[in-house]
Amino acid sequence: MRALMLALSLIVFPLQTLAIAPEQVRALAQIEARLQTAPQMLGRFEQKKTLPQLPRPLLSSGVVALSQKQGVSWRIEQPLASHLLLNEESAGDDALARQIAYPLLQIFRGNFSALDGLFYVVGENAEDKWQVTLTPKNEAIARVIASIEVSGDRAIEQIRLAEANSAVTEMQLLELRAVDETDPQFKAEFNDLTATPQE
Amino acid sequence: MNRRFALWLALVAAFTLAAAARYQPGWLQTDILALAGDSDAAPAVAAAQRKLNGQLQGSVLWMLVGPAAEAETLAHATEMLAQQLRAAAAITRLEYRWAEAERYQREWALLFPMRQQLLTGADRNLLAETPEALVRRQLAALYGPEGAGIDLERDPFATFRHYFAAGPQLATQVFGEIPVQQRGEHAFTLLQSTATPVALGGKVRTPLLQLREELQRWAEARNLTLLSVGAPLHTEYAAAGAQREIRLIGGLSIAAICLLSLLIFRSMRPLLLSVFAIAAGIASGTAAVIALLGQMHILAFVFGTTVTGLAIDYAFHFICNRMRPGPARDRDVLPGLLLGLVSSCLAFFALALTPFPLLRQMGVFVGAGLIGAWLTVVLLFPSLLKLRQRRLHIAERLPPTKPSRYLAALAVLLLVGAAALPRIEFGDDLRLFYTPPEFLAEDETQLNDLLPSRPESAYFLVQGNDWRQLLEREWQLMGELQSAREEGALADFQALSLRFPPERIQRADWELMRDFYGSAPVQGFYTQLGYSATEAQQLVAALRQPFKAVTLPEWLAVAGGQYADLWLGCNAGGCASIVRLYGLQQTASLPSSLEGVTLVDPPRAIAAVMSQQRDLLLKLLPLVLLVVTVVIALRTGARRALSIIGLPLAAVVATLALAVLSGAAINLFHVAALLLVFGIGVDYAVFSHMSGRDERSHTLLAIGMAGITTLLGFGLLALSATPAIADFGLTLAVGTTLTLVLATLFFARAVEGGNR
Repeated sequence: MRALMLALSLIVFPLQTLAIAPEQVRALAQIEARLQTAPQMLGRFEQKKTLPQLPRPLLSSGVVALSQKQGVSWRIEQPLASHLLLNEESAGDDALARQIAYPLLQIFRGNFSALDGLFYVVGENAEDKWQVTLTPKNEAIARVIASIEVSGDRAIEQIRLAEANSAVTEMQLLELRAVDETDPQFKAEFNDLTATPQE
Repeated sequence: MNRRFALWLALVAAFTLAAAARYQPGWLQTDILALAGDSDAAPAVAAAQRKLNGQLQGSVLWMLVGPAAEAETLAHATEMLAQQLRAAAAITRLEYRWAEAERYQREWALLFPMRQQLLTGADRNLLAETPEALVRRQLAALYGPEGAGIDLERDPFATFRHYFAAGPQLATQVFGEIPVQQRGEHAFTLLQSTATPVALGGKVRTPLLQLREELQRWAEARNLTLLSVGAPLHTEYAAAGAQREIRLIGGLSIAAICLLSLLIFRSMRPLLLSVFAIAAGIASGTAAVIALLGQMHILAFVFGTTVTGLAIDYAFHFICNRMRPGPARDRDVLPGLLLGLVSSCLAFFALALTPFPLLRQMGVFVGAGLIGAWLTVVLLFPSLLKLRQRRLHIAERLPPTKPSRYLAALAVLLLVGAAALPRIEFGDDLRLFYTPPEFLAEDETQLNDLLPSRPESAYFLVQGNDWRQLLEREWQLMGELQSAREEGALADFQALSLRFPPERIQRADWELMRDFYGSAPVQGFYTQLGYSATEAQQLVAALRQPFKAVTLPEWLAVAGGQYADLWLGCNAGGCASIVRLYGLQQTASLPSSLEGVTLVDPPRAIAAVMSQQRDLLLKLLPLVLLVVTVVIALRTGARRALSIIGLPLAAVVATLALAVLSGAAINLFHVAALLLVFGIGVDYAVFSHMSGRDERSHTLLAIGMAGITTLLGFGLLALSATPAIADFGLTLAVGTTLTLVLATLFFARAVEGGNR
């Protein structure tokens, strides 16, 4: 069925879709298999955002929690306190934010194949680490995102988001580990959000 | 003889000419909403309604639903679906690439220079109350993982981005300009199409419903669900249904008449003449409606065809009289025929005087149809009818009854009426005209679950002398609607001024932004990002935009279709727009006293018109009764007139009583049927009372045959899928039966009286 859809989409979108080469499909499958995703994961992040207009990069750090059910909790502790949730419904009425939130969410879930409609997905499965590079297929996303590079081993370690306006965001995920659903810290990450507004 | 024929031809020519002069294509309407009388509404309301109806009438919304995880597959399937829809003859226009880049760019180009003066309501509140929160929000976004697309130089606080991207609260992904919406476990895409108008010439086909079925099978094969909503689907269904009913009811009624004629008259000629009289009746009814009203609804046409059941009365009465042995004595029945026609026409034309289009069309159709059939009988039958004479003894064979029986029956029926009438309950609803079939209603429910943002049928009409005043009035209305929304009276609303506020507000927003840019929190924002104080000042200075005055027409020229739809335009009387309402819970708490603002609620308005017409008709009945009594009394004397009028009165009252006792909520159509029962009752009573002793058997035969054909014609209407028509048919069937029984009782009494 999926193959049929792909074949049909070639007719429908001749410019947008190139069939993923079989070796690529294999590489992606190996990476997705290598990546050990758990229903709940907890860790820390360090982020460096370089904006072309800004004199210095914006550094931030905090706690990240991944939940298959609830999405991604991203809690900045430094240099300011802020907490936001990425999930299918969270980006609200900002259409631009939705364009970015969706791929990020799938990446955090390690679900690269879900993105092959929007991005050209190229995977490289090396001995010590793997890397997946995403480049937008369609113009609307290309206006916002230039490329996304994700690398890691058994967990995602780094995400590099290059924007069309030459801003670059590098996220390091540290100490990412699987936790139980009842883990108090994990629960707190998502419960906090219900109490405080996202912005 | 030739003079009569020439007169008939002249009348035919006159009817034809009158109809031809007023003929317009599309005279037969199928739109349910066209039944709502807008004669007493203000012209602007009518224009708003027409524009909305126009949008509504042609548009079919398709929703393709799939699992949330397969958004991309869904987008591809949408593209395939669009190709199939485009290829279909039933579809003329299709829109589904909602994320069309070019339109966005045009709008962006006009509005981006106005970024200092255009704000969403939420940002306006933030700026006025807690501007530092706006700074915090933006810093969080910049430091967050997804702070992409922030334009630090021109829109650093994303106020314009919010304004521009504000849309429905749904998660969207875009695949090749096709937005895929996520809602819970489902993903869906929307395709808006315009349907080709239903062709009513000849056979009504249902291309749209067939297309819907084919495409649903296509979607099912791909594990997707296709939902569709829109008036054209209902119109097609209703038109096809109405045509089936015309065929069935008209066909069966004519078949029954044919059979009866052959059995009783044993000749083809009376039968052909009767059919001809019916055809003449239908033709003159149609011609009169076209000439006088210009248009007719298909429901009125269905009703009008049943005129055959009544027009045949005159033919039968005339023919039965000819069966009497001896030389032709046509003049004997003429007074009865004329009195019958005058009284029936009074009853029907009373309907034509109401402002309700359906009743008016029915009244004119039936009234003119009766006159046409009557003239055909009176002018053509004398020379064309050739019949074998037969002696009849029907009246004499009736079981003898005491004269008091007839009066007792009248009294009993009137008493039943008096007992039941205090329990009368009324009910008027647009659903009487049309109940959507389950498969369409099901689609609508599912679609509304996924897409709760479909507008209500009620809306606000805003008027002003020019667009500036209009926007000011809208703005005032929006203030009140916002409080109503906070109180839970409605979920949301959509207005032009929400996107394009009055200039006064744009100026105030511009000043709000100017003050904000000069404030300490904004300075702090830039130093947090690593700029020096001097750099920050330069950046802020570069942000400032001059105020740009744009007129509403300029804005409308580039605004998205959904906003242009709210604009009704300007004429000499001023400008008008619509404010759409969503998720309306209670109409009562909506603002009602603003100048230039009117709440329009079409279904409620229609129900109100129907109740009003029903009350009017109920009040009309005694008046009609009085007029008919006077007309008859002038011919027969007061005493006999009272005896004649007693029959239809008892039949009407008892029929109404039976409807009440059966638990029906009495609506306009019950009452309209009662008016007809009255007309039929008057006919039969007049024929009975005015027939001489030696005519009685033949009169009774004519009445019996007329009664049975009427019963067949109207009894079948009770089977109609349209509740209004079914109520009408059932009421008439009951009324006709009672009338027939009373007339027979009268004859039994008369025979006994005659024997005495």
